[in-house]
Order: sequence, then C-alpha cells, then structure tokens
Amino acid sequence: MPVELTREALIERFTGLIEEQKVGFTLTDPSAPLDLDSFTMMLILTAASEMSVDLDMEHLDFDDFYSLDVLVDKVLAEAKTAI
Amino acid sequence: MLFHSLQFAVFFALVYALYRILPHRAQNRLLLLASYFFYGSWNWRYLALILLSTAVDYGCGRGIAAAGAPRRRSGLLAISIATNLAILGTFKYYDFFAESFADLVGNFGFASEPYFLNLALPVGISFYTFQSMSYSIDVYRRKLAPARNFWDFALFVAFFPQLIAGPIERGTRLLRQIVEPRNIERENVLKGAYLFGWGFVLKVVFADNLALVVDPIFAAPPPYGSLDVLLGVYAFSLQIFCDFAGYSCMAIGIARSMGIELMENFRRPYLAPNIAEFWRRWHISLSSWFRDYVFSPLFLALKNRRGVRSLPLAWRHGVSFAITLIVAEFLLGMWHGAGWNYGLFGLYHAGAIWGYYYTRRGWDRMPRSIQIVLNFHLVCGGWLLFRSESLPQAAAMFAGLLSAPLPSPPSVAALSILLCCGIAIFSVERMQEKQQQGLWLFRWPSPVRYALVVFASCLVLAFGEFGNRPFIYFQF
Repeated sequence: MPVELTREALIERFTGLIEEQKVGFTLTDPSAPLDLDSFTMMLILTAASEMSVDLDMEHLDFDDFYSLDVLVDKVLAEAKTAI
Repeated sequence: MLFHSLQFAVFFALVYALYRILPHRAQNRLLLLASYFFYGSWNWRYLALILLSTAVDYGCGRGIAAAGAPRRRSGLLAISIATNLAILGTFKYYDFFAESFADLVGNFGFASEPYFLNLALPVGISFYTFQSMSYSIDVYRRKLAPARNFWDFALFVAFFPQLIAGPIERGTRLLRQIVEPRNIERENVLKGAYLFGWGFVLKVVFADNLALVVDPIFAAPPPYGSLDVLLGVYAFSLQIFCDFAGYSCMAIGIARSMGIELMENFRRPYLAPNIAEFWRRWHISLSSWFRDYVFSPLFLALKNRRGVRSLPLAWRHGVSFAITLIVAEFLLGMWHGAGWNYGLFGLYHAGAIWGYYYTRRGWDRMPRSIQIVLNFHLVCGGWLLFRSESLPQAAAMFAGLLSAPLPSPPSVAALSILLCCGIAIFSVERMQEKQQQGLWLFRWPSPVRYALVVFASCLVLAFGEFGNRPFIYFQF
C-alpha cells in the first residue's frame, strides 16, 4: 500500500520496520542514535523505494542512518529532488 | 622491513627525526620517499605497480571531476577500476585460475597445458589497489574532490604505516590529512607510542607464540583427533587476531605519532554477540569497503531489477539481500587469497550472516554471554576453512572434530600457551569493551600506567618471539 510522503508517515513506517528487526527495542526519540545493521538499512532503502524514493550510491551516505530524524530528512530531501 | 625488526626501528628513528623539523610540504615529500624506500626494501621492482596504480587513478580522478558527460565519467572510472583489477588479477589470481581451469577441463577428459606466470606476489597489493580504487569511486560519486597535487596523492596511495596491510583508508579521511598541515601534539605522540607498544606485545608475545602451537597441527597429515583440531583452531583464532590487530595497532600508532589518524580496524571482535556484529568489528576497513563499493551498489541495483521490483517488500528485500550477500562475501573471501578455501570461507560467513538475520528473534533473546560464546565458535569454524592448506585438509579437520582424541594428546606446553594467551587477551578485550575504547590505559593514574608499561616490557623480554615471523596478512 503506498504511503504518503510526510514526515510523520515516514517516521511511523521506518519505526515499525526498525522495531520489527531489533528485538526488545522501542524507538521513543527520533534523534537518538540507531546503530542499524546492514540488513535493516537495506530493508529501509527497499521500503523507501516502494514509496518511489530511490537512493543511489551518489546520494547515499551511511551516516544518514545515524538517527531516524536524519534518515527521514534524507528521504524527504531525495523525494523533493526527484520531483 | 617488519615493524617489529631492528631495521624498522632505525628507519623510523631517522625518518621521524627529520619529519619533526621539516615544514608541512617537505614532510609530505619525505614521507613519500620513505614509503617508497620502505616498500622497495621488499622488492623494488614492484614499486612500478604502485606508481602505475597511482598515475592512472590520479589521472582518472582529475578527468572524472573535469568531465561533464556521464559517459566520459563512467568511462574514466572503468579505466581506473580495470587497471587496478588487472594488476591484482595478473599478480595474485592468474596462476590460480589457470590451474583451476586446467583441473576443471581435465575432469571432463580434456588435456590442457596452461601458461603460468609464476610471479611472486607483491606484498600489500590487495590493500593499496583497493585504497586507490576507492579514491576514484569516491570522486565519481562526487563525495571527494580530486587531489590537486600528484605527490600528495602518491603519498595517499603509498603511506608506509598502512601500505602493506592496511587499514585500507579512504580519500575522504587520509587525503585530507595529507593535504592539510598537521599538529603533532604531545598527546598524539604518547598515544601513538602506546598503540605501537600494545601492537608490538600482541605480535611478539602472543601471536608468534601461538604460531608455535598452530603451525605443527596444520602441517601434520590426517587423521586428526578432536583435541588437536580444537587446540589448533582456538589457537589460530587468537593468533590471527593478535597478529592482524597487532599490525593495525602498530600502523595506527606510527601514523598517530606523526599527527595522522588512521581508522580503527578492530573493535573487540570476539566479544561480538552475533556474526553480523562480528563483521562490524573485524577488519573494519575491509568490511566497510565491501559494504560501500560492492554490497550496497549491488543491492540497490538488484532490488530494482525487473522480476524483483514487483515482489512484496519482504521478498524483494530478502531475495536481493541473499544474492548480494553471497556475491559480496564470496569476493571478500577471495580477496584474502587465491584459493577455494578462501571462497568457501566467504560463503560460510554469508550463510552464517543470513542464518542470523532470519533467526535473530530467537538468537537475540539468549543471554549475551551465551551469544558471545556461540558466536566465537561460529567464527572458529570459518577460521578452520581459512587456515587449512586445502579443501581436503579442511574436510579432514571438520571430520576430526567429530572423532575421538588421538592416543597422543596435545602437549602441556601447547595447552599452557593457549590458556595463558586466551586469558590475557580476553581480559584486556573485556576491559576495553567495558570502557568502550582501546585507549583505556590513559584514564588510569600515572603510577599504574608506568607499572603496566614495565610489566609489558618484562613480558616482551621473557616471552617475546623475535624470529622475525612476518605478519599473516602480508601474504594478502
């Protein structure tokens, strides 16, 4: 199901994916460090792709996965560029 | 010229004395000359390969940045990558693949007489070609401005502390530090000396003593008893860590004393609770290289392929991840050496990582100490493949694990070395993990620090192996 590209929708979508992968982890602060593994990072990139935001290696930096805030900012910025 | 040899001590003392009195630009030229001398002391003819890689990547980097047309940019990148892979392929893999091909067609009844180059493997070839290639790719991705000065770039490729066995640096870190003037503060010198000293202890006290246990076990013909295999693989797991982490510590320490910070290469890998985390802690510069230049671009391309793109999210991600993981880990394994056991080592880890991600809801719920112990044994399985001389030997050793101990059990001396080294290494690692840093010693009061330095010196004098045994990773 397509997800609307708003900050809140992205946070909700990515939080769900991250919490599903990290056992016993609840994301309460979007600015907190995430410490994600590559499996979860790639899952998020695939989910972003389903929202028509395709990040390529020129635009992708693994520092963008530092926190949910940074990640969502990156996806929104990329979506804006694509439009 | 090994870091733990007298020749290196003299070489570094001379270079460092000059380095401290020269201005920035002259420091860079001195380091370049010293780096070429350092490399040339192994085989001066192979300096030509470093110069070729340097010249091509410098030219391609400048060309890529100046080119407007995407085709020209990707063409120049292709030249850079092809040159480095050609150097690597010719000197490291050609004979191996020629022999494997002859064996393969021989199995089908065809005779072939391949032409062998019989070239000696240039030390550090896998490290500097990867470092140089990463520069071109970063310039192509617009993450790095091209080097303006050829000699600065040449130093980036050949910087002697990390030329032979890493850490594999990136232009975004090391090149910037070369170009900009450096401050050499007292703290840098002290921390550099500490890191060098700790690396020295890891190498001559631990790694080279453990080698005395490991080598006879892997040199012996089958059959193997379970106790011998266990002793061999436990000892090798510690040996390879002390050898390579020791080298990395020394390299980082030498660079730091000159005001240059190299990236961390090991972060207490045997205390990782799972295999994915292990690879974020072991040979970090190589695993992050593969993540950035092989795994991620391949994954991003695969997930958008027709047939994969239309799959539901979990399948689309799962299929792309599995294929990418297999390819990347196989290549990472083969990076280590021209032998199928290295390829199998990579595939073993691909299977283990994939298995972890799909069972982690159970794995992550286990107590952390149990996760660490289980994961250590999983890693040991990989080391058995890695250390074996051949696939038949690896198979015989795995079979040996399930068999009874042989009538002649391992010697008390061998067991004592393993036990002492194991307890010492895991105690230090645990302390570093608790403090969340490798330089924990600097938080302690001076008398305790001096006492530990004296103790470490006594260890070196009493147990140091000064047979000038080369570092394991030099062969890669």
